[in-house]
Order: sequence, then structure tokens, then C-alpha cells
Amino acid sequence: MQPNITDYLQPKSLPEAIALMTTYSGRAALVGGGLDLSWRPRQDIQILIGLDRIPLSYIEWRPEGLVIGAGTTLRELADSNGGSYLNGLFSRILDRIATPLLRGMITVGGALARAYPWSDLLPIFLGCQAHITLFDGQDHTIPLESFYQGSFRQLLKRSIIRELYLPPHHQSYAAYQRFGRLQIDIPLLNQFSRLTLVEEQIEKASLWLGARPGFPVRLSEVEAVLLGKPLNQETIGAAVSVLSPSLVGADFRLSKEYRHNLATVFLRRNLTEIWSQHATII
Amino acid sequence: MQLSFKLNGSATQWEDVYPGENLLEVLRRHDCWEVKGNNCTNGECGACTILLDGIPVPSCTVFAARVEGRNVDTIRLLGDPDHLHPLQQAFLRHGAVQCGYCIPGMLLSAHALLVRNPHPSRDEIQQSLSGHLCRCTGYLQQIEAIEEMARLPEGAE
Repeated sequence: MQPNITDYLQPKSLPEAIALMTTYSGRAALVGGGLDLSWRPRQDIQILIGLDRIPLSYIEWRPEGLVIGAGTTLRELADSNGGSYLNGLFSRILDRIATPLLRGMITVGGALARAYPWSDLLPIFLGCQAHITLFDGQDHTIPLESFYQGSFRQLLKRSIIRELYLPPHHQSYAAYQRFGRLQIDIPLLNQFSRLTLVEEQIEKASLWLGARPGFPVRLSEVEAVLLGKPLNQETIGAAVSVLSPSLVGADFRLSKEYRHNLATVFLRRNLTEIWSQHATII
Repeated sequence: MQLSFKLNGSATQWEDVYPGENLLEVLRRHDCWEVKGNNCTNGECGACTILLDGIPVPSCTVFAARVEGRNVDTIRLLGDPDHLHPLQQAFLRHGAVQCGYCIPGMLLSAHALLVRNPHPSRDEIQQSLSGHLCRCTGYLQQIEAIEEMARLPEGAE
């Protein structure tokens, strides 16, 4: 029971929800799955605006790629035909995040809006070069990376995430590693790697390190080493060797040295897994 | 506030729901004692699991207002002590029930799995139970009971 909550409103459309956000500015919160508010009640909030009646739960293949409604839960995403994206990326990864019960509650929009540094999803979506569509009376679609580079929390005070789209990446392969005390716990480090291989050469690379413990960061120096090279043990070794210790930090869970060591292991494992996926598919 | 929804298939209307209440609190206040309460209160143990439109979720993390117009099922959906569901009978045969605290939630997750996939693999069964903590049996008996159901021809349940 959260006694400070005095009303739970259920708009039927995004314009109606935006109007309510404006009316109750500063003392209302949106509820998608509601898990975060349930875990971390906010004393400054009196009004909840539920999004259940707005059709935001969908997964569709469109010409621009895989489109995921903000109200889609991780369970729905894993069970859907969206699970086939990037050779079954979501089918392989999502069952390693939280538990089936919690995956039925966690929404894609909620994960994007909260943007916790330890999120499992952010490195994956950023690594897939996702775009996000925000509604503030009209739709605005921007790259997810740009969204987070701006003051996104201010933006979300006057707009609602409608959907996320993941562009198709032909000849791309991806892998994800996370480390946590238990599966249900937040990751203490995670790493997502995606490579596009054309005629045995690495044409594109998108590598992200999350829960480091800060917000996910792109491993640009490592990507530079990989581009234009064939994917083999030598290339993987060269890539791992340039992973800078300055990208990770310490907190009460892990030391900086341990995190850096783990990051190199994850990077090596992911690149090796991609190598193996590529070898299997060709 | 008023809440109208289907509880175990029956149209239900409750008038005294507070906007900040979670579904577990509301269900137990309305004598749904079969939903185990006040355990972890953050969705980690699975004891208070209910089915929301057929999907197992921990009721302690669901705002009650979210179920307006939807279907909520508790363990009473499956059976009662005089008319046990075959899945409940399988749990008894395999000695899967000791203190019993986790069992309603486990049964609902297992039921949801078998509805979606009548012949799940052992891995899929283990995965479906991974949100439920049991401190008595060690999980093996529950897994074997669900495996027995998974071996049945479709419709035999």
C-alpha cells in the first residue's frame, strides 16, 4: 500500500495521457508494468497514470525493422516472432534476465525510461542502433543513442515513449554476457557485441559495456581494431588488448581491477561466440 | 475506487480499492487466502503468483487498479481440496508438497506453461519455475510432477 497515492487514472489514448501529465505535472507518474514504482515507491507522487488501456503492447515487423511497442513485456518479446531478430538474439538472451514472473512485468518502455546504468536491455538496444519514438502531441523518432546523450529525463516529463524500432542488420551476429550474483540480481557488468561480416571481413562493429557501474559506454577503440579485419583468434586477441581499464570503475560490489578483468573475458567470449555463430551459419 | 474484473472466471466488483494498493493486498482483504501473502513483497519469491490474463505474475508487484476489466486467476482456478486438478494430483504423487507455501504459485506457473506448451522439455520446466523459491523439497519433485503431465497425450489432462 502506498498511502500517498490518491488517484489512479487510466487514459485511453496518448494525447489523453499527455494532457493528464500536464495537469498533474510534478506529482504524477506513468505506470507501464509498475514494477519499478512497486520496488521504489516515490513519496513525491500522488497520481498514477496507468497506460494499460492504451494499445502500446505490440511487436511488428515493418519495412524499417522490428518495432516494439513501449508496453511490451520482456516475456511477450521473447515469445513473439521478434525473438528471431538477429538470429534469435532475444530468444537466447531474455531468458537470462530476471525470472519468468518478472519478465511478465518488465516493459520495454519502462526499461528505456528508467535507464538504470545496470540495465540488461540498454547495451543491447544501443548496440542494435535502435531508434525511439516519443509522443508529445506528435511523434518524434530519434536514435536511442542521441536520446540518452540529451537531457532525456526532462524530455520524459512532457512526452511518452510510444515504441522502439530496431533496424535490420543483414549478415550481423550478436552475443551478450552478464555477470550477477544471481540471475534475479542486477548485473555487475554486462557486455553486448554485434558484428557485421561481409566476405569474412568485419565491416561494422557495435560493442557496448554496461553496469560498469556507470551508464553503458561504446567501446569505440575496440571497434576500430576490429574493422576491416577477419574474425579470428588473432583479431579477437588484439581487440581485447585495447580494452581500457578507464572504462570501468569500482563500487561496493566489485573492484575496478575485477571489473576490467571480467570485461576482457566477456569481450573475448562474445567475439568468440559470434565467430562460432558465423561459422555455423555459413 | 471501484474495481471490476473476472476472478477465476466470475465477474467481480469491489468498491473499496485504494489507488496505491497492490493486487495481493486487495485479494487477501477480500478473503482470497489461497494467495500467499506478505512474503518477499517484491516479486522475488513467487509465492503470491496469480495469472493475469493467463500470464503468471507476482501479485505483490501489480497495482490493483491495473486489473480493471481483466482476468485474474488464483489457484482456485485449478481445483479445490475435493476436486483436485490432475496437475495438483501429480504434485501429491511425486511428494512435491511439504510446507506448501510455494505450491499455489508453482502450480499456476506450471499450468500456464502446459497451456502454452503441452510438452515442455525439462529445461523449459526448470525455467518456468525459476521465479519460485521452495525451501523444503529442492524442486526435483515439482519438476518430475510437471514432466509427468508433459508426457500425457494432448487433451488427456
